[in-house]
Amino acid sequence: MKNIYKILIIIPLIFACSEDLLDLEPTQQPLVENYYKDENDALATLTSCYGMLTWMEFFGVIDEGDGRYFMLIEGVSDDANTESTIYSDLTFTAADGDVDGMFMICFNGIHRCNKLLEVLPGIEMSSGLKDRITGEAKFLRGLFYWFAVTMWGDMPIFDRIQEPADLRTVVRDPEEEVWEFIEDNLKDAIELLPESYSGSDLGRATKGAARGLLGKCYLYQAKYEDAARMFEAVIESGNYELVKYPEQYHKDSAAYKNAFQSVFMPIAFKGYKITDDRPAVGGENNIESLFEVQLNNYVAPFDGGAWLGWGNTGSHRPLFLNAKNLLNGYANVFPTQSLVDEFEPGPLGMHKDPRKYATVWDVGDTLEYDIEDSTQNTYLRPYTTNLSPDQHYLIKKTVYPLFYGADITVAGYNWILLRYADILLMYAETLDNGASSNIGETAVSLINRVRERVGMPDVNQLMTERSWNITDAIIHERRVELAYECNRFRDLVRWHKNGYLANKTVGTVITDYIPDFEAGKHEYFPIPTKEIILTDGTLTQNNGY
Amino acid sequence: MFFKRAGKTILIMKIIFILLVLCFVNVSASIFSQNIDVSHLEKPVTINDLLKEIEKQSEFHFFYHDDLMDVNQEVELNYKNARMKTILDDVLKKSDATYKIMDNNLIIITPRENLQQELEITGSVISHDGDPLTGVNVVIKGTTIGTVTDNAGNFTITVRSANDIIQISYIGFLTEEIPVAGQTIINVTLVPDIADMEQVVVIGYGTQKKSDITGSVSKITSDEIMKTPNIGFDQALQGRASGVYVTQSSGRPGAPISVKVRGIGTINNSEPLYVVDGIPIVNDIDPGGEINSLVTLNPDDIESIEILKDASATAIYGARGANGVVLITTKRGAAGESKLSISSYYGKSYLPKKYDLLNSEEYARFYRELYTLNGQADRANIATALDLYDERKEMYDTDWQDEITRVAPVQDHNLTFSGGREFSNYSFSGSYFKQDGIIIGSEIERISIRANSDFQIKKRIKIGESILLSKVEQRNEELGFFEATRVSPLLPVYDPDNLGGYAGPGGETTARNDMTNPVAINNLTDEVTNMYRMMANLYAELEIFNGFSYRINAGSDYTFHSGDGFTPRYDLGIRSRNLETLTRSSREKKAYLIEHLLKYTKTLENHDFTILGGHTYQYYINETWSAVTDSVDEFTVIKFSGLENKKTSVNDDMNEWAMISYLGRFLYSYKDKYLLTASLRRDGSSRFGSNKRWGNFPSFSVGWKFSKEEFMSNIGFLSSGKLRFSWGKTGNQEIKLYAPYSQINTDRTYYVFGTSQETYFGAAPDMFQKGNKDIQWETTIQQNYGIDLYFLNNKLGLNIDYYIKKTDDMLMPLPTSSMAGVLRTFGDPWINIGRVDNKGLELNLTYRKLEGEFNYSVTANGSILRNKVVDLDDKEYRRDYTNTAEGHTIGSFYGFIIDEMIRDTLSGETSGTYKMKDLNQDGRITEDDQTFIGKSIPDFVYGLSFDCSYKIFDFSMFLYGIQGVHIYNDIGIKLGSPYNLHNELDQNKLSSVLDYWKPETNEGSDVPVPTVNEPNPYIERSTLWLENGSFLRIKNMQLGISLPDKTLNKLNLDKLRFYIAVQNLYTFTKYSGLEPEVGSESSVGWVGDPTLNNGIDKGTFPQARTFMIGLQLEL
Repeated sequence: MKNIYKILIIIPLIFACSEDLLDLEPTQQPLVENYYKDENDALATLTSCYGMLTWMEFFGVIDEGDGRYFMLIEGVSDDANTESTIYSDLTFTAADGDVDGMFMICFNGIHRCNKLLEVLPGIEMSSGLKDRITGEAKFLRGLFYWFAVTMWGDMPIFDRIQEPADLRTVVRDPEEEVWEFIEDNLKDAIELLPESYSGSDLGRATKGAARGLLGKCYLYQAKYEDAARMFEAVIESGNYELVKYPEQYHKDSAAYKNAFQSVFMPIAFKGYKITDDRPAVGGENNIESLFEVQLNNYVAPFDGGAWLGWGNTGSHRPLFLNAKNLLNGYANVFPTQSLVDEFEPGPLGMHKDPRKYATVWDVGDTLEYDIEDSTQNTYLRPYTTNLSPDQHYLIKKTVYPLFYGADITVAGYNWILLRYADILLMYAETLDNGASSNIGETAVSLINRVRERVGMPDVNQLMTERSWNITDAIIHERRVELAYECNRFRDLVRWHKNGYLANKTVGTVITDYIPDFEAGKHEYFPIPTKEIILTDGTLTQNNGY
Repeated sequence: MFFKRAGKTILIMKIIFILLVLCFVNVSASIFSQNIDVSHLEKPVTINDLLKEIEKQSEFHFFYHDDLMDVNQEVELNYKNARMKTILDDVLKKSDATYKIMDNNLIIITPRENLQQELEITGSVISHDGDPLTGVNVVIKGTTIGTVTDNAGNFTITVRSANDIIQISYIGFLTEEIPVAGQTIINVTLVPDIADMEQVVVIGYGTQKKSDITGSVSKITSDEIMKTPNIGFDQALQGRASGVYVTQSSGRPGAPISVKVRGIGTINNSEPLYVVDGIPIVNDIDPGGEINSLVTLNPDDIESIEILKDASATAIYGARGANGVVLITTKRGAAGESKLSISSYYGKSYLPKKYDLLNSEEYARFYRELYTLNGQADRANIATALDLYDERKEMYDTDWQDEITRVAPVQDHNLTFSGGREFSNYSFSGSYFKQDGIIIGSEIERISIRANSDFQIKKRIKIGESILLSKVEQRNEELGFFEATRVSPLLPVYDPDNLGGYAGPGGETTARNDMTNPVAINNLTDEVTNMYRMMANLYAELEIFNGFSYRINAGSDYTFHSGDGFTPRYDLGIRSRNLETLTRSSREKKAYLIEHLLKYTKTLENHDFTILGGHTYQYYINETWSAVTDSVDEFTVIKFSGLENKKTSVNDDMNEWAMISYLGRFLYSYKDKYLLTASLRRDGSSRFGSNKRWGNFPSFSVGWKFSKEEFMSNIGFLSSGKLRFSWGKTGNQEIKLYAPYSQINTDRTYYVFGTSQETYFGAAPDMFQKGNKDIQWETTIQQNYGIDLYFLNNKLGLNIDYYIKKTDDMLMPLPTSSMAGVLRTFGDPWINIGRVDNKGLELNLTYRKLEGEFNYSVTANGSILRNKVVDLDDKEYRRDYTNTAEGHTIGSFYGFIIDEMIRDTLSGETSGTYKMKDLNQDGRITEDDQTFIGKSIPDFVYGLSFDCSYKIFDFSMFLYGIQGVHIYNDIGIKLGSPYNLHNELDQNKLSSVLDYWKPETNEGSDVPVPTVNEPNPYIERSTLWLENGSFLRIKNMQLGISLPDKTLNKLNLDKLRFYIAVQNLYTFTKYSGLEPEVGSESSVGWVGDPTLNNGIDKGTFPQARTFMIGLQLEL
């Protein structure tokens, strides 16, 4: 019996089990509460703010379907038909996944900027670096709000992070206040950001980028004088110029074609071959670029995440734009005949403006594409199509040279969001709207600078030929120069809102361009249904959706 | 931290190993030793001590009466390694006793002079269906003299007088009493006791007699499990127990099965807890949901499955009991001769049904008509295809459904070896299973070994173990019906000129249909998953004093998944691949359990009670790792190290959780009439924040065996009756791990900087995990009212249960606006929200006629279920076609109502198209015109089995059905819509699209007019393709023939049975798709969505019709 008592005493001891065994915190990822200690943490957080930009290349993100900003924003314009006609016909609904994805990108980005700006003061680092990081975060916050305000108008203004509970009562602030908030952010950014970067910092937001974007914001609000001052500051900085071939090569059509193509072509891109011994110009982060989304062809670990766009730094544009019957493409977006027709006859006996050849593929063109294999050969295939007339052309700009890779077609093309030619044309537009030039430019001289680079004749000649006024010329030039850079739809809408189209001699209302456009509705995209549900309906829907 | 744990692991493994070795040693000793060494005994010895020593050293047991022989008589002996016979002969010569060795190693010692007067009776005991019964107690009534039957059911017993009565009793059968009356041969047929009140039912942390159970427990026996042969036991649960709703969402071999006990208790994970031989196992479905880790268990190894349904039964599992508990008990050896049983079957599976699709000629004609109607007659490819046909009569006409399916073999072989003695028993089994899927590219193979044994050491110590080792190799098809049905029939399968040898889309005939060749993809890509599992459980039990015992359980469950994939380069037209890709992944799941239990059982006159107390600690760790590369050379050279190369990427993850629990239970019965059970469990889980970690889960239940009351004694037709009531609270902890913590994501956010375009890792706050410190247990309170009635001498049985189950504070991700910085859905914070009610009625009815040559039994069970979301804090959980909201069942279908087809041309609307109902009557169709249109949870689930036997023949049939449920026919939309849905061009369609609406000539048609693109963005989310999903399926039919006993005896066999069987012979349904058993699509795996996305047919892998032949052999 003694043994029994011993056992009875031992058993409770066995039962005593330390509750510490339940303290299992995550070990793979840091906790928010313990993070933000030094400058590396601040810089990594900043990287994640920039990181939202690469999502725009694909932004699956959404729990249902995948979104494609490019297809959305070009599809609704008169430059592109989409395979899914809901964009071309403007019949998309508030449940649209692409609109939803874009909303998410903007607000996830804003959240990260807010978190960074909130913790920055508490992190010890050199004041120079702290200023720069603050400037970059404010620039990005401004940029995300720019996307948001131009897509949805009134938007809640968040200058600090939001907890889930806060969002049940969130309301939209008036568009004017959003613009004001963006302006404040960009003004601070201009103060804090450097003119340029070198080495491993290349690609970060610069003073010029902030000025250019602020100018664009003023222009969107028809604050033409303010806008002109900003564009002048960009021009006067001397940091930017148009990419061109050296004068001695300006004698043949190939030079003009190449000159423009080079702006968008990453020359470092593996396998691309310049057909003769001419110098390579342009490429990524070139002298014409104010701000571009930095991409390479890094593929995220493929466990579903890559498809969902979690942190790829490659571009999926080739996948969406490449021909279906030639390459692995989905061919979701097609150039319209109307855009192709917009290009004037070209110089040096060229059938069209050289920019046309850099913008679209036509039947009969020879597609040059790069195969990602051990041979690293470049292949040529003629582009023939047996698709329908509305799917005749393919987009070439931003996806040339073609890349023919694995299933996840990830190519490393940087994507320019703001470039000098845009600045020049926007500046011309402010002058046409009565702003004064402090640097002795005129609308015509600015347009001609853009035209000269590709060997196009004086714009006065065009205006005379077609009995156009300068407004016609600006609108024309923006369309052919900036096609497929996600400007066209926004341009048409702001011109329509600002009454600028009325200055034209032809096509004086927006429905002349986009027949399905419904005034009072299509100026804005719908607020995603999901967001309205998630905020208990306090986030109101835009008119007409 | 980590290494400390690893150390503990190794220790556990060592202990398991050492005990295992000891077990084997012991078994062999007891079986084979024949010689006895008694030299070490102190001399002189008593007969009693000597016999005990012989028992200890041999497999023999002695049987004698103390009063018939002087066992304390001292004997002199001096043997060393003598034959036992010699010893016994010598010893007993000096006494006045003699002995007799029985078949089953019993040695009966009787007084010499009595022997002549005694009557030796031999006989055999068989069951109603002719099977010999082993281990039946044969006792002379009123004495303790008795024996048990051997493997052939035979017994020999010596009675003292012809007036003796022999009592024959066996668990599960009615006891027979037979007067000797001078007979020397007594053959007995036992009739099963349908009420089977003495049947032992496994409950959590113990067993209970069936008659004493006050909760709601369903038992499924090994016979029932084996009647529907399948790779996994979970499939066999279907239709066998009321209140258990099993859905096989795919006919793919090894696909996960959904098991719901008593409705859907929560929007998040509502699968039950599985406990194998006392060890809760890990059953988390992998992301992608293609692997069912339960298939590692061989169903043939299972003795019984108990499903604990009500809170009184499950509350002992506390925090993990809310969705029911499935207890699996594997086969253990029984005392008696060693037994060897072999079972084997081979079968062939067929695709039971096909879609009626357009052939080439119809396909070309349809699209030409479509484009002509839409003013696009110049669509080149179709015209070309048709011209080819018209001019040359040469056109491929591929039936892609035939091409991707096959007649697929299935085979299963099992060998079990078991036996035991009084002090030990053992059971070993080995099995091999292989099944090819009816879709090419899918297959599964399992090899498993199991060892179970128990040992009595000294009088008070018992130890034992259960060990399972298994390996499952699985290949899944890449593309199935969803893809194959839509490929152009104009595309041939093969093209020898292409790299890889297959044809692909592109070229003049098929350019616009860009669906890839599914045969090529399934054959060219090779992705294989190997799953290795070791489940080991050891226990030791110490009886401290009579009725009071201590037990320790140590268990481990180790699973290793390794995935290897290779995709070669191939030429498939526009779907070509120029890269070869290699992927490798591994996932290790380790779970450990240490459990201490104290139990005290006592009977005091009319009071029986059992008290149980215990403590358990569980720890789980999951480590994953995966890599992909496009460069095969680099891959093999660098072996994933030094991954600077951008074409190779690696991902790894680790997570862990732990639980500490205290449990207690009190079982009490008074006069075997009034029963009470009360239990309490306290659980602490690492999944919750430190201040919300602990939860208490009490329960109680009462039972009243009213038929035992005096006043019921006159009611003859009622043989027994019991009323039951239970109440209890259980919990659920199934949330994403680390839910309390907001995390920074550092591996899924990148940006590129610098002239050399380097990738930098960012740190994204809250992206995947917004923490909630206040997250706590989800609780379910359940009441159960039950009645068990048995009539007509237990021939007819009826059990009815009614329950009300209320789940509060559901653990759910709070759908959060992206404005809070989360990656929506993926990073949603977990919260406690809302309430779901499940109410149901369960019914079991059994009738057995088990006398005479023709025996039969009929068993029916049915469950009615009402599921309702009572409160969801005004939130909605919307998915593509479903919505979960207050006042509706979970995962209700949600969409637009089809009004009618516009047939007249006067209204100004396009005729031949469908109109939606404008529910809010605002004159236009918007998102607001959606409503709840159907449900994915059936109202009624039922199973029906019929078994009969006549002489050597036996037949059984099993039916399963569900009623009152909808299916969203998503693949039907794609195939049946006469337009290019989502601009997926010129995909093949159902041949019914040719019968589209035409003015005047075909005005009655319901098929809309073909258009180039979908005419109405809302048609996909409408009632048009919402169908009645009720079905009744003949799951299994089996015809067997067994060798008669005479022949068996000659061959020295216990059993030999051959059978033919057919699985899924026919399905009665109105559903137009291939397979009405549509489960949930477990897409990218986050908890919750499978529950919300139920009943959507996205081209379900249909369940095969399988014909098989099999044999069962026992010797």
